[in-house]
Amino acid sequence: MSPHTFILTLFLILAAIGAAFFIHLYRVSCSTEGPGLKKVGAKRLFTLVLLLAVFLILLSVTLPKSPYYRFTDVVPEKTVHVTAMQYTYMMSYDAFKPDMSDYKPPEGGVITLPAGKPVEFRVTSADVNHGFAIYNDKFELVTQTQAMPHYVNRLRWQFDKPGTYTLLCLEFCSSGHPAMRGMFTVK
Amino acid sequence: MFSRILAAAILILIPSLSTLGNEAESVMGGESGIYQRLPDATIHTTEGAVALSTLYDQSPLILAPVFTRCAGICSPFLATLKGNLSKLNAPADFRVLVFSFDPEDTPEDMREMAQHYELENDSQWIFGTTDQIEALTDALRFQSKWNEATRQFDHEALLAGVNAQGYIVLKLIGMQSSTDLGRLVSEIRGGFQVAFPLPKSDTLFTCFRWDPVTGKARPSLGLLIMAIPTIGAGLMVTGISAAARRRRKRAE
Amino acid sequence: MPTLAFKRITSLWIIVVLVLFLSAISMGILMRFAQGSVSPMDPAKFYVLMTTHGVTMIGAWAAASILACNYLMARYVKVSTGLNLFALIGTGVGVALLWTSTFSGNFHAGWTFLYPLPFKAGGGWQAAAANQFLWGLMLLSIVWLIWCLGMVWQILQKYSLPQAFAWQHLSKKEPAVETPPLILITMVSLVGMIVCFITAIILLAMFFSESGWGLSGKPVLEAKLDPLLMKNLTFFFGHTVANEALYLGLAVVYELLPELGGRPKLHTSWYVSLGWNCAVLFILTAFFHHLYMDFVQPQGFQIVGQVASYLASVPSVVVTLISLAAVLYGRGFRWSLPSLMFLVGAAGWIIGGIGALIDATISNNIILHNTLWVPAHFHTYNLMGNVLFALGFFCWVADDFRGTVDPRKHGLKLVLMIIGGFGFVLMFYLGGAYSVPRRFAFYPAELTHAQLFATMGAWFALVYSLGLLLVVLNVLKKCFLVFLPQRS
Ligand code: HEM
Ligand SMILES: [Cu+2]
Repeated sequence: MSPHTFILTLFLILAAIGAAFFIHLYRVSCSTEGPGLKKVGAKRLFTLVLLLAVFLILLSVTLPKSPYYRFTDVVPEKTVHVTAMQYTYMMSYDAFKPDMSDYKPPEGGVITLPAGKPVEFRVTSADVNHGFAIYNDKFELVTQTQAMPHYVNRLRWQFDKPGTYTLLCLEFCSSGHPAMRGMFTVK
Repeated sequence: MFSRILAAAILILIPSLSTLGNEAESVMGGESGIYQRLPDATIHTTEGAVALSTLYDQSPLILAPVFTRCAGICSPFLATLKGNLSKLNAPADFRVLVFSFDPEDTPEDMREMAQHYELENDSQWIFGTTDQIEALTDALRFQSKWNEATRQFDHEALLAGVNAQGYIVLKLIGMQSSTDLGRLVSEIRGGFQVAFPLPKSDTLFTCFRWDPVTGKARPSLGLLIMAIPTIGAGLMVTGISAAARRRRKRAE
Repeated sequence: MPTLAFKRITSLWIIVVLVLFLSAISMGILMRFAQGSVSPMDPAKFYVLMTTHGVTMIGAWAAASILACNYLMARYVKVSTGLNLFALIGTGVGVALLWTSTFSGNFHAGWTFLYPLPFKAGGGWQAAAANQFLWGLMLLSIVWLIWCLGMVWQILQKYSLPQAFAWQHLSKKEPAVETPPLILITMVSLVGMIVCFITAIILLAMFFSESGWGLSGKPVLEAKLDPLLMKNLTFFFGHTVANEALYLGLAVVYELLPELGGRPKLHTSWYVSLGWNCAVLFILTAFFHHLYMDFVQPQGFQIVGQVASYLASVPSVVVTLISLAAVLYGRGFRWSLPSLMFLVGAAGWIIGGIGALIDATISNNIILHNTLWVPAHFHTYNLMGNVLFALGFFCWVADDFRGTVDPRKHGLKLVLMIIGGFGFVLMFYLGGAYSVPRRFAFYPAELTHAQLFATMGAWFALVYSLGLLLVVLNVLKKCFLVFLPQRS
């Protein structure tokens, strides 16, 4: 199951449980039988302990998977320097100034990265905040970071599948935002 | 109570906020040459010649290009580096290679420089020259220019971190705070800093424009701004409470 | 008991909120149809609608929640007609500034106006339009800050500061002075609101330092601002205002729900007091989850963001849900439209919260951040949560003005709103899970499913609006009646 389907399924299941709880509540609220909710204190304590336990487990499972802690002990095979600007991405294997004065386009015009090896993107912006989101050839969002002026975000990733990857901007940057695109290939 | 806890949270920010500053037009020089391998230049010290690869094979390196005739940045730069390094208290499993990019410097000049900073017997520091100045400064993308009028090099203050495989992993340009230096040390020892600020526009110092005080006051400003709303709300509400209590008393 | 003048100012407010709501909904439906390519729109025009829709909706429902609490507060403390009139006039001027800056000035930097976008329009709008928008927000922030401070003043006339926070309930089982849950929740939420309006004022002042206070565009300071600091401030403000509004809505539910169904009042106990005091604390730090993908943000903050986002849900679930269950369980509860709206609203709030928690997990955020998942979850707890809390209050209060009660359930209208509302947000969730970006005026051809979701979403929204309109017309009519000469 792709992470996308997993997240959706998880959400739908939890939402259905939530909805079922409220429907149940509605139905029992109309009947006059029975003494009402019993042992409220115990139920409250139980919910509290349950929630805290679930959250503790979730935190310990998910936090280490945060992007800041992944691929930290490798030397990337390639670095790509990215400057986002309204409404395009300038990319090069070499660093360049935001005014593009020393920008060298990659050979063949297209950034090409090795498959199965860690790579690093150093992402910044020349004007406003932009996003740097990598979509695979099925147009599923693979990973992303933000492009913020004055700062460089280092996004490390390993592309296992060769193919063409598309970049979309995921931070609103005015009217050209939906048309802002970039691409690279993985071989 | 809220304000105190938020203030505590914000205190965690101090080191990181030290980078929040104002700059007009940033230069990406700090990024160029990253993950390139260094040429295997030969380094000459008064004790003999050694290959750069032998040095980084033994331990990660911080490279600092200087020239001994410098009347400006080099001297405060090295002094700050020495001070910050001892402040950091990091494990001494890396070394600092101070090398001259001035062809007129000799290994003896460099040893005198070391003596001047009382570092000639410190095994963590190496002072030397190289006969491949151009290859090395090119690999580091180090910016310098001879200024005939002042008879000095106008140059940037550069620290380049080289990991144990000989790759340049991070460069710092300009006068460094100990936080920045910590970042560099962590990176060459195999750590990974997921982001960094771009160097400020005034990083390309000429030797005479340097003002060591600028930039130091920034962090407190950013901090204050983040804390004002909560502190302000706390003050306003307590103020209202005091006024209301006085009014209630009067009414009774 | 509220005076006639207070009732009139309240109905005036309700009329304004509902008119703003209906017009902002039409903008939303137009946007969704445009995204579905049913009626394509020039991107600049789309973003004008998006900016206006966002700022209007957030503002209208924050105001509605403040207003509702103030009306109910009249049961315990002295309230002021003048204060609400002042807020209404200030809001009117503010909204006029905002709407003209977008509709005629063409300003469209999004309602979060992330620095430095307002100044880098690339010809999309003039500097004067940006400044006018910022001034509109500045005015609203100042007026609402005064509004909230005024309400705190009203509460503190009767309760001491610790009593207003219900701290006496923490140690004693039955303290001499009882703080009703309404007062407690209103108080803690107002403090949160005050924090966020001060934040907004500082944020906007920083904008002006670069753009100049006047409309001339001459900078006050030469220096440029720090985008990271500005982003933190923006979301500190934006996130907090939306969440505190929701909490104020819950205060209304605590106060009215038992009474509407013929049950005894809810009382403050030590866990209600503790829960709500904690909730506000967590909410003030949870906003960090908006910056997960800004790797430059210190990692300590990222972790605080995830932990606080999780913890913020604990008091609400443990205290509020269990209290609701205790009120409702097997006691022959008498349902009517307002109480049903509260129940559905609570469901929308919880379901939206689940969506929010999934997104607030950093390892998920990497594929959800700024996809349609974000509007999905906040529309769930706004449209199907906060709006229903406030709307339920409107329905109730429109009768309360005349001392009558409408015992009917109006089931059909509500069912339309439920089907339409949840269908509408479901289309956002589907889009978000399958990587459709948010804030796209049109979708790339490769995202084949995106247009279908958008069109379906628009139709669902129309169904919602139909149910809503039937409810609202009734409320509006009753609100207008308050202005006729009253028999005494
Ligand atoms: C049926 C009612 C509604 C419809 C049809 C609707 C529709 C939309 C649409 C299509 C968007 C743009 C989504 C995108 O990013 O692509 C949007 C954004 C937004 N909506 Fe709504 N919406 C509705 C109700 C609400 C309510 C009740 C609220 C808040 C109380 C709200 C607050 C917002 C906000 C804050 C944004 C973000 C604006 C921005 O990105 O700058 N909406 N809405
Ligand atoms: Cu962009």
